[in-house]
Amino acid sequence: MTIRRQYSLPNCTLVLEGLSDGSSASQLDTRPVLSILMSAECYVTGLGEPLSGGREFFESLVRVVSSYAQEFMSGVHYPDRYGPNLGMVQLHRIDGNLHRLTVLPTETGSQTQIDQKTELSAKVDLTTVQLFDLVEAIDQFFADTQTLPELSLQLTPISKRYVKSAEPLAKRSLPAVVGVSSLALAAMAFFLVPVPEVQRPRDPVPQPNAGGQNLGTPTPAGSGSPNPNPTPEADGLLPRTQTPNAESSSPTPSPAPQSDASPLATPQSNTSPETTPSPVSEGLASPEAAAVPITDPGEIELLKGKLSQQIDGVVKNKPPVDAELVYRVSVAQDGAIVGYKSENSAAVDTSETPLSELLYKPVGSRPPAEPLADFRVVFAPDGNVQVTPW
Amino acid sequence: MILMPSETSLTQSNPLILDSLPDLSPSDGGCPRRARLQIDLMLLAIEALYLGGAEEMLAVSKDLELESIIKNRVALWLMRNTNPLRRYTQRRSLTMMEAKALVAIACNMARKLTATIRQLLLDSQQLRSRNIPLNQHLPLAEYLERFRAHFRSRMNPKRSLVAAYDSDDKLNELALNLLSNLLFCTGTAGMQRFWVSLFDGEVE
Repeated sequence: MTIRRQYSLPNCTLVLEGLSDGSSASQLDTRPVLSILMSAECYVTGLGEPLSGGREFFESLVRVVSSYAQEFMSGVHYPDRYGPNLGMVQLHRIDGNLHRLTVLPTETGSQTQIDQKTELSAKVDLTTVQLFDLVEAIDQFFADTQTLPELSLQLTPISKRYVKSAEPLAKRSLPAVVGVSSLALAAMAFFLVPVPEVQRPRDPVPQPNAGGQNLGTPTPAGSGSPNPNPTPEADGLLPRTQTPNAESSSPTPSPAPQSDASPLATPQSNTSPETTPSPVSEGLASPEAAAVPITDPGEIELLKGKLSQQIDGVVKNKPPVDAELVYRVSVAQDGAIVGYKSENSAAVDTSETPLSELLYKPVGSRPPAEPLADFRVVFAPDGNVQVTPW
Repeated sequence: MILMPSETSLTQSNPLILDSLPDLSPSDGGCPRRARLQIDLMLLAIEALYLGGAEEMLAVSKDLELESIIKNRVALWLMRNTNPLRRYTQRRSLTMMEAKALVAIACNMARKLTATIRQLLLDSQQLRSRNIPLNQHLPLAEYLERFRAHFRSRMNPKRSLVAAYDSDDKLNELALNLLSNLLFCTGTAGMQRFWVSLFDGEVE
């Protein structure tokens, strides 16, 4: 005798047909146990034909719907919470109110007469109320101990380990994205800030080198040119190393003739007159080579006045010279004495000349071919100084 | 032969009603945060459906012989205030028995309101499918308005989760979601389903 069980709800009716194996139920039992399922049909409003199938279909339906109901209530998505899905029935959330129930065709392997019905796959979108009716029909089946008693409602919460948050990925990853992008922004901002140039640490290391360079060109030693980076070591070291060097009359041509602290020009002019003061010869050679002489008479007059003034300021504190000294002096446009040359033997022999103090000390760089005016400067033994254009 | 399974009724005074709910102990022993939050929101939705719902909860608790757990109005208020979003949220957690009692009350009341809940959900579905604003439907508008008022008066607006529900639309959506959940509570296994769903992803 075929047993038929029906669970009816407004939007869903579940009909099960099967047989009793007669083992447990007595013949007197008015409601024998349905233990062998032959067919299951699920009528859903809005779907013309019922979803139907055999035991495999029914178990899949029951498991998937029960699992989906739990997911709906908890918001925790975990499809395989009650064992691996057999794959025939699937439920997907479309939005808060629509749930898509899909029944896939059975695989060709299990061909029975009943399964053939489900080869037509079905797809139906259930509203939440329809979904609830389906869940309720299944729950009523579970509660019915006389129908397939081996299938019962088994509800267990899923473990923390399997939780995939119900929040969409974009929402979950938002904090991480914000963090990473703000880090990137900060990095870009710091990248644009110029790296501060640390010059301090360089000083101690090249200090010996700087001393070595100063051996050749002892410019910082003089009182006139301040050391830009004074350090105790340098102060103690430089004068000692320089002075003997300067007096050993190294023939190295010094581009900057010395100040009064180290009278470099004097020993040089004494010892080697031929190679004498390269600055002087350079200062004179350059106007001939490249620089144009100053020809404007007014400017020459002006420069002559300046030169006389400069020389007078120096000469008046000095004892008069022994013999007449003649120099050719080159003067730049701003009145600086850029070079001079002895023009008579007395001047060559003289160890001291007032012009050496007046010589322009190149702290900056002078233009290489600036216009120059040459003057003839004569120091007379009576103390007079005569300046005339060359 | 057509047979209807007999429905188990929760309205029967059954001191063992809570036995149908399994003991699910999360790691720290107390009730998880999400469970406390969800239970209180479900009760809030019931209050919005049902004028005098708070009083009814005490009556139902008496009917279900849960007085040993929920002794009085203040005890009920304190239990509901374990919801972390409440203005006067309690620091203590909810014990398993207290949580079960609240779930039993919520499901019992939801079952009594089954017809209302179904109708409101069907109406909201129809209104949405026709693109009619929900407040055009009087019973639905009343439910939503009461829920919004309850939510705003009792939840702490400084909590970010509460602040996220800053518009009527968002609160309406929450209210309808809770209504759907209440519908699932009305079923044969509704109480078990609700109870187990509270611990989804919270147990070891």
